[in-house]
Amino acid sequence: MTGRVDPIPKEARDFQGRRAGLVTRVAAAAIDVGVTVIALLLVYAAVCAVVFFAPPRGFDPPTPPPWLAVTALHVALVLYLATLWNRGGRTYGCHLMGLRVVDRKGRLLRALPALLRAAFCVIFPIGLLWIAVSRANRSVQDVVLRTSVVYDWDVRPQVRATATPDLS
Amino acid sequence: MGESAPGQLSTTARLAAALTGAAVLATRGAARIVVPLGHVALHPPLVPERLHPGRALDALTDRGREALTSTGSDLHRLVAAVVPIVVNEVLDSLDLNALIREQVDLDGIVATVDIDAIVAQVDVAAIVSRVDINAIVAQVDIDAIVAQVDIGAIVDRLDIDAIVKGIDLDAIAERIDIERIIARVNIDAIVAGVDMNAIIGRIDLAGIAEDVINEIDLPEIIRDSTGTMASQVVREARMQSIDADEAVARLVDRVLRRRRARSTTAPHQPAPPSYDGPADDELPR
Repeated sequence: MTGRVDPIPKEARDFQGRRAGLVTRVAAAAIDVGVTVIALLLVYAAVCAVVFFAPPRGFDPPTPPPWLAVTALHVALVLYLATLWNRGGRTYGCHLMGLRVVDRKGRLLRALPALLRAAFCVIFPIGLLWIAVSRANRSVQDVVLRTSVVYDWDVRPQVRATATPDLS
Repeated sequence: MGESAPGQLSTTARLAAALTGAAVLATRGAARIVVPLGHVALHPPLVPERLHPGRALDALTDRGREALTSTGSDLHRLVAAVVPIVVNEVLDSLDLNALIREQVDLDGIVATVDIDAIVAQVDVAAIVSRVDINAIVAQVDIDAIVAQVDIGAIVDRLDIDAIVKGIDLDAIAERIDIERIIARVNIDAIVAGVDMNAIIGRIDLAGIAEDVINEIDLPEIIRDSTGTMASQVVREARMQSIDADEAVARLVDRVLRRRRARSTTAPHQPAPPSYDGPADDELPR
């Protein structure tokens, strides 16, 4: 076969490969935060269960201090984002919204850039608003780290950066 | 003496004249006597006519005439035998063409000829009707003539472009009865001679199938027939978010008074071609 059947709906094909706009990326980020929060709540529930079964009579749910909760949320977010951006270029939020994070050559992020980008996004989330102003739909993190978040509804896995030639 | 000679001469002359006159008178008198006697002698009475001496004399007269006549026939035979030989010898010794060219004013003769009158008297139709065209054509060796024709040289000299430009193809096409031509075409015979397998082998069926599937949006049909409500919701949410992105971008660009559209195309790394498709659990539900 000389080509392949395009699985993308016709109305969305023109947008594939273009940098995503503010609304889509904020929605994906919100989903990712919600997923992380739910994951942390599940961890908290697990901890409570362990504490409950240890001395059930004197059970008192643990109440972590706010700084710990906030720190845990940030760390969990950074790990979650970095891992999934490095493995497939998309978190669950990106997966639902049809986005993919790529480097300046359109390839998957390596581990260190993915970790830096995740930390940058968690520490400075307001940088996402720069998308609305940027002529190229780039956030502050994209500008600094030379990355892009593109519409990519194709669910096939992206090629890793170390295994692909330079296409620029 | 001198005076006497003329007198003697006149006397002699007178004498001669007298004698001559006497002789004439005597002859005439004798003739008056002899002619009847001769007639009686040649045709005696009481004698059968076939025995008359005059008859024998007439026979001799006829033979003399015949002799004279026979002498003229010999002359004719002599002339008939000699003249052709002489004429041939004369003609052979002469260059008649040169002689005519030099001595005869051919232009003057031709100028006096009324060609129109001659042509007007010619019955061309009668001549043509007597010509056996079929016999003439039958004697022509068309193959030999065609074999001698250098078709290549003729074609090289033809200005095909000029000829084609001068042809009104539209007018020709309008005069062609396409339906009549098609009605006479034996489609079944043509199709029977076509190697369908060879044709199909040359067709990129896979490429055509892909184009058709993409054109009819087969993934959409599959999604409509097999997809869940969740996948439909996800797709709708994605499209609405894209529309929202476009709306926000247009609003900001309008506020910032930007005239040029945004450049949002990013570097793209295509998926590996060996990948045949996503697993079911990878599809958004």
